Amino acid sequence: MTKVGIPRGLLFYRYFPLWESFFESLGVEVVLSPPTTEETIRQGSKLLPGDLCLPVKIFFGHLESLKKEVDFLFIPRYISIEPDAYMCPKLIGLPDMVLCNVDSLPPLIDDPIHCKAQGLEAEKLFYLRVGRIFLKDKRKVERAYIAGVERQNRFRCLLRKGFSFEEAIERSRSAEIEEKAKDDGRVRLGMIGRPYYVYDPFLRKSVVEPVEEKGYQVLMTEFLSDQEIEKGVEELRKSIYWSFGKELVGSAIHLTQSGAVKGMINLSSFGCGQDSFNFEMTQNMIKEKIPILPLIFDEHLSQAGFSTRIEAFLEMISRGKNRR
Amino acid sequence: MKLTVPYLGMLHQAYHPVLRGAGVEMVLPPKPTKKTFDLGTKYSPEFACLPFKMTLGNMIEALELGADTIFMPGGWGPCRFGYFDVIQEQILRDLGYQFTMGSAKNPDVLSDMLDMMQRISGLRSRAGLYKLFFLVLVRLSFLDWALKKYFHTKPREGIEGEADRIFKKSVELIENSLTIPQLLKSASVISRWFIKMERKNGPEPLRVAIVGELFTVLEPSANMEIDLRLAQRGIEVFKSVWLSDYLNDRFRFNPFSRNQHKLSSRYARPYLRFHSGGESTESVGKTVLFAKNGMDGVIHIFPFTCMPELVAQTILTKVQKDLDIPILTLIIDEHTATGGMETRLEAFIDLLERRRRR
Repeated sequence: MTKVGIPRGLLFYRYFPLWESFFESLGVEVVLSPPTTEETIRQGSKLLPGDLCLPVKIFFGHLESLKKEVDFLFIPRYISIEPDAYMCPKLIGLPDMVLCNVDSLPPLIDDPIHCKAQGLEAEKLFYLRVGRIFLKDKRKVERAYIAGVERQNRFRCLLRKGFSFEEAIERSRSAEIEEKAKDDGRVRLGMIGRPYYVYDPFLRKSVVEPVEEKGYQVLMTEFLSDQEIEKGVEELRKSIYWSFGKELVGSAIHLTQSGAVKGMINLSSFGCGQDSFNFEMTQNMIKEKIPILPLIFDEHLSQAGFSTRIEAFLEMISRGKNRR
Repeated sequence: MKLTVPYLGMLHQAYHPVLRGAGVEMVLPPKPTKKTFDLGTKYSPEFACLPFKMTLGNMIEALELGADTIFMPGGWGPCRFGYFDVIQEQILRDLGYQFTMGSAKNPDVLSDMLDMMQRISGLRSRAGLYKLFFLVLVRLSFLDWALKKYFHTKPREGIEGEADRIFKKSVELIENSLTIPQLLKSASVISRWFIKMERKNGPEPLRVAIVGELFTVLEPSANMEIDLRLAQRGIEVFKSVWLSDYLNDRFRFNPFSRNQHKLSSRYARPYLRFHSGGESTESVGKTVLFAKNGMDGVIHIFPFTCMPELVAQTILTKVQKDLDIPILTLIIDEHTATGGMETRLEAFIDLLERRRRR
């Protein structure tokens, strides 16, 4: 059976169920790299110049272990997923960065997805193109794509219901969507960060878990529906032309205005150009309403330093100093 | 209404006399210095890029001098530049300034650009405005042309300092030519000056190309006049981006010049297949082109946290190996000092000289 490798990094944390289901329906085996460890980060940093952001380095770290085992590497080029927004420039250039910096690679599947140029059909066209590599039957490929989209929708739905990333992946396999009590009485905090920050096991361990251990419920961007996010960004003077930026700012504003959270933790990667502007916009919209803790991480992050700051922040919230 | 435009290379020399002549009240911000930069850094988000901080500093200084309208075109690209106007307006309003921010919906489209300029300049006639805009663009391309001439002749001058003198005279002449016929006449005068200049005999000078992000390549206060420093050492300087080329790609005011973006994307294709924002394609494509044209070395210069250029930097490591061309990467932020850069430049030039002797 043909083996397709998917590195556990970047858009894996957004689209994996779609990818997995699509390839499985085509009869292709999906090989994943092991979860992120410190070794992954070390390997990634070795390959790349120092100023790139940590998620990209993690992605490159995953390639090292994966490239020997597979026949194809799946690194799609996400240029834009909405007609009026782009992805990060680093995601646009990702396949080229991989080709230029990693040796002895298997063939790459790096077709572009460019909704800004091709309209909303672009995603479908992309999967049809990719599917034809493995299967000549166009109708079967289309069915595989539809099954993938259905699973992806179930996955997003489960995330919104409050399941964790791993749970949602497992449970999205079955057609039924289980219910989960969203509000369990714990004090809720907003955690604003891209999916590849908040779901990456390494970062999760040092940022998300300490908060949960203290008995808080963490609400993330992924918990909100597109409509809620759209409502959040409505108030901005100029709409945001980065898909992730829109989600981050929109969810921060929505969570604040709906009164769902008592405080907000804003995660950003060291040297991330978009995050610096997104945070500025977020801060401007919500800083008078709830307390915000900006956390910036890089490959040298120390858990101790983070937990001190998080503890102090939680202490402040629990004392209700900022409650009006 | 008092209009101000942040500095970018020789842009102020192109627009200022023209707009002033047309009756637009202008405030020219003071020349950017360390103070301008500190001012911008103080109020910017920490990881905003250098062009953001620098232009913000310019704006604050101009507002202090009484400006009340700011030109910042905005945009809609994957690069952060499109948000400059929004975030800067927010920061300046928080600081308590009263002003109008002139930003276009899509500055790459001529009609949007003209709409915006109509709004901020107070000029009524659309046709007149278009003529002004065209004149500024043409003046800009003549200024760039004069600088290119200077870069070509400086390392070959027979009498020390003559090229500098002629260049200074030429810029003044272009600045004072306010119509297209005048400009053409000045250009022929200038090219005669440069042709008549005494040349020295000797080995061909080293050729170094500066590639990278538009603002840092062009703005002397941002790149610490790296181009002039190199020229002073007798090195012929080339640049990957020129403001006139950049605008020509969008507005096609000079039909005889090639579309530089298309040209670079053709050469960048083996390495970077899709434009990833900013000047990444130009950086990669022009580096390949320069290497094929036998350039001795390339200096890649960009602001800290610049996303498109980081992609380019990652890819240039491969270009460097493939085409065997030395590349010096200079990342500029508010802590970059002249001394440190000078040392790195010296070492780089040493390396190039040794390579040439081999």
